[in-house]
Amino acid sequence: MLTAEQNERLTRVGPGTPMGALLRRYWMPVATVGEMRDRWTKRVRLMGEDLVLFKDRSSNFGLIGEFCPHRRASLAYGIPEADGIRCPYHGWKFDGAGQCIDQPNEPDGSTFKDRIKNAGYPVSEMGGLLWGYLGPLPAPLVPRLDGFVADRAIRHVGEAIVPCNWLQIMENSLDPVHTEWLHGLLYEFIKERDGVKVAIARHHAKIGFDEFEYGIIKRRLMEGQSEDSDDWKVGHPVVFPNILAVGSGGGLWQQYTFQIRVPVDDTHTRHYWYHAYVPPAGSVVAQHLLDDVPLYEPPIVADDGSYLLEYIHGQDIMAWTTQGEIADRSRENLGSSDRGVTMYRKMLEREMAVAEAGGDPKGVIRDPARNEYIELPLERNKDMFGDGFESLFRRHMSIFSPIAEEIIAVFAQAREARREAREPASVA
Amino acid sequence: MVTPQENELLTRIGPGTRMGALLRRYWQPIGTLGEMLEKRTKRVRLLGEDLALSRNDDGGYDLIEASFPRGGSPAAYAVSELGGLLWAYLGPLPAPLIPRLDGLVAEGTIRILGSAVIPCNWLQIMENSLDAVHTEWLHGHFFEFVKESEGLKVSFTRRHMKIGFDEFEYGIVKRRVLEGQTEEDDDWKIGHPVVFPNILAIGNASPAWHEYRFQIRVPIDDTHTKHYWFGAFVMPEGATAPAHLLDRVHEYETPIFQPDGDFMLDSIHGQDIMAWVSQGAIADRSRESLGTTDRGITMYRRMLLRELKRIEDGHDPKNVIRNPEQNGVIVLPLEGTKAQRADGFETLFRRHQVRYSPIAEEILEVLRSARAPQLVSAP
Repeated sequence: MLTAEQNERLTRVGPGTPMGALLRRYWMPVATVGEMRDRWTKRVRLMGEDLVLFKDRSSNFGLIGEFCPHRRASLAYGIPEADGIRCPYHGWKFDGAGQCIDQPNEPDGSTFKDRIKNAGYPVSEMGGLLWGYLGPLPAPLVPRLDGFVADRAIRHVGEAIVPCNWLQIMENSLDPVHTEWLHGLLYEFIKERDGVKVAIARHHAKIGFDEFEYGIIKRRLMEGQSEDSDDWKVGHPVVFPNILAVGSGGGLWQQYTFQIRVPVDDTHTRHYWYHAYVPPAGSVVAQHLLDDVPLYEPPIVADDGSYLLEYIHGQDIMAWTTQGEIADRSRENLGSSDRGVTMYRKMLEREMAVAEAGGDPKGVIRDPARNEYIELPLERNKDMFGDGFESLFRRHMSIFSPIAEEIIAVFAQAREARREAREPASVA
Repeated sequence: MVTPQENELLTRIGPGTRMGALLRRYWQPIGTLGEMLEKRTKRVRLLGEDLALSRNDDGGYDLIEASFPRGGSPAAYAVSELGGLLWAYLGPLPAPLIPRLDGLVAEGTIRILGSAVIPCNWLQIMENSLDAVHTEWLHGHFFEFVKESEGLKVSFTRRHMKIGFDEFEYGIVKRRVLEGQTEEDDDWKIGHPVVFPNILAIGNASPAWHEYRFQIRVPIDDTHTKHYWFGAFVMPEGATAPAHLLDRVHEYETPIFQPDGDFMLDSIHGQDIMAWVSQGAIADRSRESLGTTDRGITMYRRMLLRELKRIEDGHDPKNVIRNPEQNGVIVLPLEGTKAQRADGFETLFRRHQVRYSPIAEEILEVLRSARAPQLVSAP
């Protein structure tokens, strides 16, 4: 349980807040490269700031305050030029740093423009995503996590705006036991009439949490598993501060999944589900699957507004949003299974203090030598994936991807090829 | 830049507010006579008050509070007709006269009235009319950007060399000299007025192209504005209009959003509305940075505050008329040849919201029948 003041401190992310200052030390995805291909601007609300991501005519990206400092018309309708973007209302031009560089109807020689500075933030590209950095300069490096930069991967990314605070979404990722209930027994209850049983419903015999260089490793031991199983021995990480990395290295596929929770403001979170699937060597994959990172928007509620409880992401979103816009942690009662949540909150407090003191908080990387390829713990033969790739894929939001069936087909083909290799067809 | 308190003072117009008291000294249009022939009652939300307009058995009109306490009686306001429009007056009695602006009372015109609810405060809409330079960008360069794939070039992009603002009896005259023009051009010498407090009057006075246009910004409440586009087209010599075009004001609803909810950026009114609405429900003037081109806006804000002081000192504010002799016809400055209209009447007509009038094609046909060379667009 927290005090109401502690809850405020941990959840609020707007400009000037302590948690906002910590989260501003990290690059946040703001768009995909693909979604900016056919457009010049995109509105981006990030940590309570209204921004516009724009592409200039030299194909550079800028991330600046949405409202023109002149008379506050929206730069989301701006006119792109080679070195910046002009306000549609009176033509004031801004560069990617937010500096006003032209006021076409002010007198020649006027220095007025030099004194006009809009917000302006660095933009970087990695893994088919565009990342923005709202913190103090110089900006650190965008961490090259394995799934973003792995060679020859099929990638796609789902996006949804979840109408609640970011922290309760993150806490879910430090809470291994919820899977047994929310994705297991609740799911079986929803599907009771169909008699469905899922692997996820196995009982947790033990859970564990360990801090590592990039965050916290979460471990679990399901009933009947040994401590030599990857679920316990390897575990999977929460990459501090706002990414859950849960993939699978076993079997045919190397699969990376990042759930990235980007605070829009105190009561909305842009949730990205980023997947990278590395098919086995020798499988035939259409080039467009390797070149593009398509963006899709999985539904998070049904047409009638009810939660999509037959999907794993729908179950999660039901839990997160029913906790309230900002969960009231002054009225919670934490048990022994919540110690990952407590550990994460303490880490946030500790790193807030580091940032306030002017230091680089955990996971901020400035040395390129340390950033070539960040290999995260990756479980093989994950117990919860026991239902098989396709079954899980179809229960997950990935099924709403425009390339969902192509991914399943590549997988099925690879599995078939391997089966044939193992069992040569008998001669009739 | 103004303080947040000054911004509140300038923008809020509900009952009991100071700016609301100033705007209540002026008649505001609430509809047309024509629409009330077809119905007996109409809801009117005006200056933050919910009212009911009804046509009584004597052919007159009543405007009362839409709801009031049991046992009480509703406040009633004055309603009057001018130019085919119905006007309401919510200020202290006796009510002044409705100013007989030229375009409202000119005879033998085809009159149209478009309307839309703009989801923002009235003041940022008015400020747009004291901002001469915006046309070069919003209706010029931005328009060309929107139509980039079609290679559109428009006359609005001509550069402003000079802008000017002069107070006159009924408001402020706005002037501009565009690149290649001189001060002898109508754009500078005559200019066009903002009729205080909430009407932009911009028309055309050449013999072949004679029209009056009024953009009337009527505050519904602090964050919504009923925008009326009134047009009165004078018949050129040799043109005749069928009676059904002349005998009433033809009202229509002007669409302001596309089906997908975005603004209609390929039209002049859609560009304006994008700019107004994107400034926010009530533009935050405590975070603006005014330049030298904004002095018309500053002049207008000062005029609002000055006139506010006048009513608070017990006087009639600017442009309140009580003497019928002063109200025969109010002839406003009207430019003849406007540089921004070089693209031709028909082209501009189709780019503007008038194209949504149900009689748009009939108007074009009547005007074409005069065979006035100026009406023919370049191919």
